[in-house]
Amino acid sequence: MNTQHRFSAVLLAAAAFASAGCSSTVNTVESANPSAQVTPEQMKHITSDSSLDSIVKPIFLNIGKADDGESLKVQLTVKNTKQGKARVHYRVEWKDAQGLALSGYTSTLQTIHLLGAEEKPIITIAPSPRAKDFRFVFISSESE
Amino acid sequence: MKKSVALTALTAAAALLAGCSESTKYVDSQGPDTVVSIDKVDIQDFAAAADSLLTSLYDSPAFLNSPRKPAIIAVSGISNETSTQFDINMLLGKIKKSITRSGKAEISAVVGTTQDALTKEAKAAQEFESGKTSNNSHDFTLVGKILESKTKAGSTKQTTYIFQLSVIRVATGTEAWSDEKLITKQGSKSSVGW
Repeated sequence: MNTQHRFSAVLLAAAAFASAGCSSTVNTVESANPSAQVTPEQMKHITSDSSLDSIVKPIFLNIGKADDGESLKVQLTVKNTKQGKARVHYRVEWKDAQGLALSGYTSTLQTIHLLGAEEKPIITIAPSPRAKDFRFVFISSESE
Repeated sequence: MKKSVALTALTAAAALLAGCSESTKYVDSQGPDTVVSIDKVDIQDFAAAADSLLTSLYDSPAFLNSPRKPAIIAVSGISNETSTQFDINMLLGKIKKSITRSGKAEISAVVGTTQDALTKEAKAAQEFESGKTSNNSHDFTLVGKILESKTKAGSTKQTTYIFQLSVIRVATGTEAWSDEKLITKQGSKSSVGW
């Protein structure tokens, strides 16, 4: 190996070391035959900010009942498609059986933090028996 | 002559600076443009904590075997054990609003910290007239605590606020539900936007 090659190798190793230090990613292990009966719902995914969409993507939607047996329970799994950490804000808007927005029931803006390539479920419970439908709204974060 | 040039330059600089200063504006109280304080609980922290804790409460079977539907909750109190002073109603108000609108429970105005003198008087008069005294004024008690943990690394400060809330079943004297929400803020000084 000549000096130039050796220098390039050192530079590459340093860059790899530096990038490893800057980003933290997630590996996962789970049961090959999960016992939970999952029935994913179809998602209508509207994108108005492609840069936000390319960072955090909704990948799975489940709808069920809360432990009280009555309230609507919604789980939206999101994935960070990047290697670096990501942070986004979201809120959930609720609608009644007629599709009318339930004013005063919109959730407050929440923040979700994701490590590189991490998947995380966002779980929400209908705040009223009148809430029959929902919409997740994602807002990009100023930093991270 | 030199003095007047300097004075003109100073006046122009002052005018420019005045033009650059940010004017006061309205922002969404729960939006990402609000101020984030490093050493105090902000309005959006109360909202986020209440939202998260109540989602957990509604997901639990706490009110499932309530003797009444909707269940009646008496607020025992939420204590502020942080180093800053604030009105606990900023959190309690959000909790009360959400619980009463959920249809799962109602908040007692006869007992607890949310009692109202007129309602209490009317209830007592009602009981006196009917000759029946009710011993079961409420089914559950709501109790909570806000704690803080502060740490520092160099010039970076970190404050964690811990919001704890429990619902106690009066009939058994046991906790029917309990949860906590942690809100951690990190930085060197307060800033606008999150």
